[in-house]
Amino acid sequence: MTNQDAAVRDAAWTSRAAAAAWEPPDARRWLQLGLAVIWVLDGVLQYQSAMFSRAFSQLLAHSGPGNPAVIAESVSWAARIIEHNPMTTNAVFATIQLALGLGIAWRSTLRVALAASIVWSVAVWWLGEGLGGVLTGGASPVNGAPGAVILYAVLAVLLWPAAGGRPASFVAGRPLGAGAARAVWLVLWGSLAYFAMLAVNRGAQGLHDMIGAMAAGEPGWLASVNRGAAGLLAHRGLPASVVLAVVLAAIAVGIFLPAPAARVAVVLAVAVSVASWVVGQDLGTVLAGGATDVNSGPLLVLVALAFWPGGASPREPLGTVRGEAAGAGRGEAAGAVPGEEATR
Amino acid sequence: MIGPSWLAAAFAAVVAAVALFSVGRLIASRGRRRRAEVDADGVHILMGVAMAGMFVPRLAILPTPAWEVIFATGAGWFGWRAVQVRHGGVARHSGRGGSGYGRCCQYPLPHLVDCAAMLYALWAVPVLRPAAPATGGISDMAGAAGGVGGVRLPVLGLVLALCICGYVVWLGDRLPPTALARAAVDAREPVSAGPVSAAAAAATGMAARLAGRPLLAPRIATCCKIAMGVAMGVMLIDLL
Repeated sequence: MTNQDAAVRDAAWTSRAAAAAWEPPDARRWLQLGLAVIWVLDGVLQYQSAMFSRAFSQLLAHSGPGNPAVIAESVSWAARIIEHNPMTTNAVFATIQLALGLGIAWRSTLRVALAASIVWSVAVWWLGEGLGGVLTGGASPVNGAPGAVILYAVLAVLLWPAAGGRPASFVAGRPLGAGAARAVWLVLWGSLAYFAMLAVNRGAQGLHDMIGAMAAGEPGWLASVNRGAAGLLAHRGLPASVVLAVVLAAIAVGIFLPAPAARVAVVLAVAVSVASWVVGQDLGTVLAGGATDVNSGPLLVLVALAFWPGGASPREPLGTVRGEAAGAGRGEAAGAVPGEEATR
Repeated sequence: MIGPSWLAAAFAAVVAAVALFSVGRLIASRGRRRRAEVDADGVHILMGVAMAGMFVPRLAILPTPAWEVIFATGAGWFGWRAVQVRHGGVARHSGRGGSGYGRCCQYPLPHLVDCAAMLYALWAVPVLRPAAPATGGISDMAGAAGGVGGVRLPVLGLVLALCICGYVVWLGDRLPPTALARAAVDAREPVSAGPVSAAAAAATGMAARLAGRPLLAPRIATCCKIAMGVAMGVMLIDLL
């Protein structure tokens, strides 16, 4: 047998091993991949030309005022650093986000990437978003409170590939346990209900002005949606805020109800998230240019899907080599690219 | 096209490197009893050259209409292949067979999206076209697009970018693990243990492929697809 024959045989041998070890994604893995797509898209958005100008640092600096001094000063500090090195810092930021997405996608680096995404998200939420405006009184569930970036961290925790996992009927309950995961849900959606009733939102023209202002720079059809929604809400800020808060509160407590009712709450959460993403967030203003992320809508949808009753599969968590303890960390599934044998 | 010139040059270098790798893969596969994906590697060569010209205008070598014809042809090919694969032609087309399909890629749909994305990038900035010099091609269009805006059908561009980001993640999920982890798999599940591996292979349609020659450098090829996808995503989003 020639060396070439041996190499070909080894290639086929290894490919069969890889094909046998690779498992198709389960519900949690699909949600992790969804999170990875959003991270990759964020990285791509961060590479936009506009982000390499001083406009980016100015955008960040605007999130500081109104916060407690310690927050505002740290936001200003970060904005100054970026202002002095806009090109380098933005290239680094974009590359980090891209790496986080690719790291979550690749099973070998899943845990490291999820852990890094938590650190990165918290840092950006503090230094880049001024805690999403939750302490300024200007947060609104319609335009992305409590800040999209903190939802990445929440998702990383809820979708953590815990070894063994805990018994839960939904994906988010496996790493934390059902009770703790439901508490996270309650805090998240309960806080959105609270934000809906802030003075800035319940004013007669609060929601009207907020949504109407989104139309600038958007494509015609999306601007029309903004104008139509703003027209409906004109001088109806208070009742609209009350209805929104009631719906969000119902979502918050709905997850504690029996499975059929919990499913209704999850569906409602998805519907509210999509509606606010289209009407209040304009698809993250990606089409208007200058968006740094897709805003909170898609992330809230992922969170909601992680709580879908019956969505957790009982098998060993994906992201681990078959038969290997998941806690090993370094040993992740041997993936074979479909149609491609796993050979070098 | 994007941000600072050094970053655009870096992206141009990445896509050019992918194109060079694809050329090398096609050549090397002939003498190594390994299989390449002729159509996928071919379109990567073309995309690499075209995108390098979009990132760095002085690297543009063909006028816009020529690229449009090229990628429209590519889209037609991969669309036809996607139909063929959907109708059960996987084993026949990707196996060892003597037909021309024996060296084609297994999953033509993503490459159809790639071609569509290239066509969109060429078509989306119509206002600038009359002003573009005959040999300036896409580089001038794309080079100015980032600052001018007003592209056609931005939603389509966003959808294409989303599809490509999804494809990048899909590839990443299936990227084989590190040698260390794979060695662990090999040690635990020797392939000679037969039935399980054979069943898995058959279930994923690998039986036909295993009968033929293994692909040449699939891991690096996958990384190249990921790199090309990221560059394409950046280009599309910056056009919006």
